[in-house]
Amino acid sequence: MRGGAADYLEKPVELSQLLDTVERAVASTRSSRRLLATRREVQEAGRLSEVFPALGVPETSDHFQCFRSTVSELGGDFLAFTENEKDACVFLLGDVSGHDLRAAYISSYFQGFARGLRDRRSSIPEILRDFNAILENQWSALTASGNTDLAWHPVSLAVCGADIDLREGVMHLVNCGCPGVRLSTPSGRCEVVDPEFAPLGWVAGSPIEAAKVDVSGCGFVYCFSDGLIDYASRLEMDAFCMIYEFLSCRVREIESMDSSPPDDIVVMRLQIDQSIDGAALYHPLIAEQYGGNEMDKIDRIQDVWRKSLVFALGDAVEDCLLDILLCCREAVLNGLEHGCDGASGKLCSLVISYCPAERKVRVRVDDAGHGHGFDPEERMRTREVLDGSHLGLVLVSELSHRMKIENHGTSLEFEFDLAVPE
Amino acid sequence: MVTGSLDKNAPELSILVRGNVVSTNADGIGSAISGILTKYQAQPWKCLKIDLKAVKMVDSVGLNLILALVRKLEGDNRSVRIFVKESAVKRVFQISKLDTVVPVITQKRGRW
Repeated sequence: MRGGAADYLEKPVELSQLLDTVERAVASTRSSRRLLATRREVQEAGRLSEVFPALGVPETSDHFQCFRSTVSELGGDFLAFTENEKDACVFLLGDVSGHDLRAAYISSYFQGFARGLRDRRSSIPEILRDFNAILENQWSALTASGNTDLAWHPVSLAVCGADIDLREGVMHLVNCGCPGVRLSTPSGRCEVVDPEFAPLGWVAGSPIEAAKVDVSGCGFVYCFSDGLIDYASRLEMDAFCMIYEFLSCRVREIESMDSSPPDDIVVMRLQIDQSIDGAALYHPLIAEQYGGNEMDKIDRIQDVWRKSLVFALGDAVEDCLLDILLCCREAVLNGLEHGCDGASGKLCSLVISYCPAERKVRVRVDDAGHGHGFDPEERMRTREVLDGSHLGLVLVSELSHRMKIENHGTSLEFEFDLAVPE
Repeated sequence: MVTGSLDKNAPELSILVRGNVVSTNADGIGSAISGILTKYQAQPWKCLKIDLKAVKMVDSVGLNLILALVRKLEGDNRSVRIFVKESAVKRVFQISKLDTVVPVITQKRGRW
């Protein structure tokens, strides 16, 4: 049976038993062939969904990178991207609830719908408002008709899109339920533009409009589906380190990871100033905020930093990993205790970024406090007096290769030079 | 995490610390060391050997714990020696200048 036999007969063989067994074998073979054919069709449909995007097929270039992973052959996540010669580009990233055939159908339907309207010069907000109305009307009609098989589980679509004028540095952004769009500066600082609207299909008549976002000083714009956040959370890492690694093309196949993602993942990164070599910009690897009352969680937090840095930088960070972790620990604990007064409502932010061209890791910690009036240099000199004070500042100053204090002490930035491989 | 043993021939009291010596466990390590010191208080040992060879990280709170311990034993006319294995751990003792008040000895695992 292990070798592929369909069934077996006991001696003495009776004709009726033989006929029954053959019938079962024929039925089983037909079922297997149908399953195989269906699977091939699903795979073919999956390939088709990639060549009929809402805008254009996203192709990786020097300034645009994307990554996509689906749980099954047909996924509900999609990404479309197009640019023209006038330094303008458009992206549309979406995530249909579920990752089954139903989700894939809705995804394809939306992309065709969006492409048709876009060709007729409709704006992204108009497309999203119209599709929201379709979902609302269709499901209302289904509910009214008593078709509860479908109506009990309505479809929703999280979608984020933007028209970007790269020359003017202006982005008209619409986000309906996707994770907040991340903006990073050339020096590695991060900002989140939170979604303003609920996913399509949630709110009838949602007044979806674009928000004008100044991206003139930005290094990169990041957009991704919530599958990435779920996956990062499962692996206890920061989402940014996964973006960096996935878009660096070192992880080509998600199957090479230790744990499979629970949901479809789609990620994109767009470089705003395309006259600069992207490798010369700082890429965020970790961008987190901690409440002032999270000091007792610092060991777990530190472990997330460790996993994230090792995942993104691998052996390159090995030599100074412990120093980076210790300095981050000291800086964040100082921010939580003195800047946030241990209060849950006050936040301390940490951003760790990496410049591939310079092989530098930069850490920036900002707290919500008012700072201090003392001279940090004077404080540093107190290390000659062994009274145990200011040891955290001394460690950060001496273990890092460069350190600066800004905003009266509420901001601390320090860097590490990674060793050049032999 | 912390164990103590008395070498009556030395005479030396040894304390072995496993795990990191950091803000989240410094109080516990301090209490454990105090308990060991109390237990062997009446014994005629002159030197405390702190074995940090299994420790990978000592932060500023951990350094302050060790500094306070050194100061306390100085008052009792007892000395302290610290043994480490990781260069990163030795470096924090050097940077903080704790190595100027207590000998910090790097001891790698020897060949058998």
